[in-house]
Amino acid sequence: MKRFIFITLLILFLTLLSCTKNEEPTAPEIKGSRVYIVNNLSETVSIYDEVKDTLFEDVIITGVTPNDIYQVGGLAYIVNSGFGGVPSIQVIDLSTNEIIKEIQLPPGSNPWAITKSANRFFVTLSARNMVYIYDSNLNLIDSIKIGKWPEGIIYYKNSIFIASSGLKPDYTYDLGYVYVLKNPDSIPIIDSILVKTNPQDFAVSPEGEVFVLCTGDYNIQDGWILEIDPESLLIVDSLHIGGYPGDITYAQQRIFASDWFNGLLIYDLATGKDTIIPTGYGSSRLFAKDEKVYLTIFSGSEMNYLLILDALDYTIEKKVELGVGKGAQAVLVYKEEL
Amino acid sequence: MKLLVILILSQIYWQDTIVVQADYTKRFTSFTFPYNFHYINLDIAGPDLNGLPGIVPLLGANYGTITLGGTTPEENTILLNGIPLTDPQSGYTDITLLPRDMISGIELIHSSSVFSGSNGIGGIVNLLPSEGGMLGIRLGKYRRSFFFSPLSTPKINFSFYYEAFPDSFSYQNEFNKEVYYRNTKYTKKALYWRSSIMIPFSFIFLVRESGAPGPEGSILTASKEEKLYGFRITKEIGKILFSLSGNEHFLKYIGTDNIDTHRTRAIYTHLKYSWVYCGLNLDEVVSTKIEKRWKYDAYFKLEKTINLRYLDLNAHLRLDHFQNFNMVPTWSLSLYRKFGRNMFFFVNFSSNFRSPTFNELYWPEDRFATGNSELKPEYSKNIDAGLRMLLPNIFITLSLYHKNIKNKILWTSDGKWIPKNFSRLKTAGIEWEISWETQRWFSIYFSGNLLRAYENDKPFIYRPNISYLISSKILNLVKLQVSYAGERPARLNSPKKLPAFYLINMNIEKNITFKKYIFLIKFGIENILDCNYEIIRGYPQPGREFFLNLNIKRGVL
Repeated sequence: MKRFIFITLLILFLTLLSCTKNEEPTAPEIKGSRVYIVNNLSETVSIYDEVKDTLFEDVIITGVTPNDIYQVGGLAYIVNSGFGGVPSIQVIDLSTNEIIKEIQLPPGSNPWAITKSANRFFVTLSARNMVYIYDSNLNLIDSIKIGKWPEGIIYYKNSIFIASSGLKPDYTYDLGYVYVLKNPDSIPIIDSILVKTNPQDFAVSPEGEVFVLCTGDYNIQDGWILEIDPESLLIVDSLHIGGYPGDITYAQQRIFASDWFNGLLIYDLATGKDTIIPTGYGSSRLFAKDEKVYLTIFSGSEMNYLLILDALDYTIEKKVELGVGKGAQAVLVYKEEL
Repeated sequence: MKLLVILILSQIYWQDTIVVQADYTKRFTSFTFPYNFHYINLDIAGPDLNGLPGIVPLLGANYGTITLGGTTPEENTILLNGIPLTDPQSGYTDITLLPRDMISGIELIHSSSVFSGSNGIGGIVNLLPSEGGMLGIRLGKYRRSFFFSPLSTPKINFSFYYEAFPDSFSYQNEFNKEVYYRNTKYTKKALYWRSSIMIPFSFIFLVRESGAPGPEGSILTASKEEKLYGFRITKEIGKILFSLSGNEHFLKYIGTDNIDTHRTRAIYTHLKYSWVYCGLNLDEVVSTKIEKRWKYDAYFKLEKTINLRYLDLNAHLRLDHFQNFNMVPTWSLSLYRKFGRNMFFFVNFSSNFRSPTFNELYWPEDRFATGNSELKPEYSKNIDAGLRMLLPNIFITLSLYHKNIKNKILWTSDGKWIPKNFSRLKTAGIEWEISWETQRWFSIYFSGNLLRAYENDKPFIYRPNISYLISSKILNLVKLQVSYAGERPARLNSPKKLPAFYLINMNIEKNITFKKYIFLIKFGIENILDCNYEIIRGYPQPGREFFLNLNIKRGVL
């Protein structure tokens, strides 16, 4: 009987020892052009090496509910909205793909997106109706009350453009505005432009056009794309797109907008021709680089994808499987000089 | 012995629950139930529910439950002394509704046994009410409670319970900042009435008013009001055994724009004659979301135990007919072998299923979620086997289990949250219990789980690979409990982990007899290390808590 007890305890001890395997991801060394895909549901970043046509899955563990990724030089900044945890900004060294810094944001503030002026970072805190202003080392220096539930934010021609979606606690929408902070690196001057329902994101062209995507209320109010003159702050053009648009980008004189159900909407500014590329359910976030457009396909239960399209002839050059149930969202392309 | 087993089995099945078999001390001498059965004395195991055999606790804030063998809450049946507690709308049993003083122990049995049937893929958990005390008061940093049992005899028990928790507590977040988790308040009132005179019955009435805090960082201030009625009646008429049980849940939110109310009712009837069983289960929901709906499950079952010279065999075949679904067959086969005088071996095979809940089928499309009326039931095949050894002062159980669940229903985020049959969950584990009482002055209890739970070949969320509990009692004066839960996935399909944690509780207790009363005075500390931990991500659990407890009961030491 003593033998039985001894063997039982030995088995338990050995099995306990066998359970200490460490499965932390390690950052691979990737050189050249690569795509960073933020997986909102699995809370990781996967990296697709365009040169070697290889996906490195879950290379970086993000904070809670990552929503945006933004590149400045050799660093990338991830905005973690913090639903169910602490919101934060993580700084990734793109040469090593390691997190080198993380700062906490106010709990419950639901930070949405980040941009940088010449010397300052600006972060929209949706649930606080605020924009936090940081210096280039992410030290907080100021905050500004902005509209209602601000989301997308960009820097263009010495102005910060902020999409105030107007989202209310009952999940209906007030009037949508674009707020503009002129002179953002000293004492900002605030202006505003009334736009369509639920403005969420921006795209800018090298020609000096600012486009704002108003997604509508997913019910009665349709989606629109409005063109804003960054000097006069007047709406100079508009395009009714309907549907369920989610993100917008600009490449090769074309506007690209993702639509959750319908795929990728493309509007050729030169010819006025519009095209729909069916990409399947879950078209999510966009990024344009050179002559390519990168689109993530989001799913919580099935395969997620990264689509790489030719911005001129709209052919899908590559369809990269990103894994099941990842929730692929924000995307960033980084081309490192070799 | 065989007679005891047969007697117990038939009684268990008949009541659709597990009958209280033995208390902790009796297990050292005469308790010889052969199957994959565990009885956990919470006075020994402590309040944390970590590292208990087969159990994975899933605790949020004013919402939480336990599951068996890495399964999901809807795959388990949870009872209070045979009273069904599960809310048929969500398929979930919120055990945090119950005042802690009300529960003295947990009985559980894994699915791969004669207990297979609806919503038993994980298994069956029977919470055992505390009976025997007359008056109890607890004053703690967080929890304050009180119970009063004016009637407490073997045949009848009538008890009232009260428990309260403050509106917030502080903890250190992952950036090592001291912050407050708010809206955690609750007050619970409960009435428990059991009688075995004439017609045996149990009745429970619970009211809880509580905060409904969102996850960490949430600014939700809404409160909720919940009521639960539950009952169970059994009667033997000749050779026919009859059982009727049921519950009613009511939930509404306060201090919010959410005007939803949910009321559910469940009635379960069972009949047994010899080795033939049949029953009808009815569930109804009246909800601002689901509207008014009902569903039934009628079943017929044959169960037979054969006692051979060296082997006991038990088998059953069951057919369920569900509204909206075809006939669902399930079965089980159990073998039990005794070696020598003190060692027992068991192996069980079974199939199980779970039908979708009202929420999963009918949740109306809103901004965040939608139900899926196309869902199919889940099916599982389960195996478990183990060894149990009983000696006068040592008790050892070591068992293995495996569950393979097809058509698993999970809510997934595809723009909106939607339940789908997309996944397959495989769990396999080793669980153990070792009790050792060297002398009267020292005893130790060691239990734990090694668990591998994989959903579509990825580690399943919140299921630790390892958890264990070591509890010790010294000189009948000091109790020390150390529990550990290992790292576990914090997200589906992700390498992200929640950190491992240790919890240590200690108390010093002393019994004093005065005339016909025993006074138990207890002073203790829970979570001595002031560990910051979460079991469900975003729901921090309270830190260190000092408490003083006084219990009075009739009797002499």
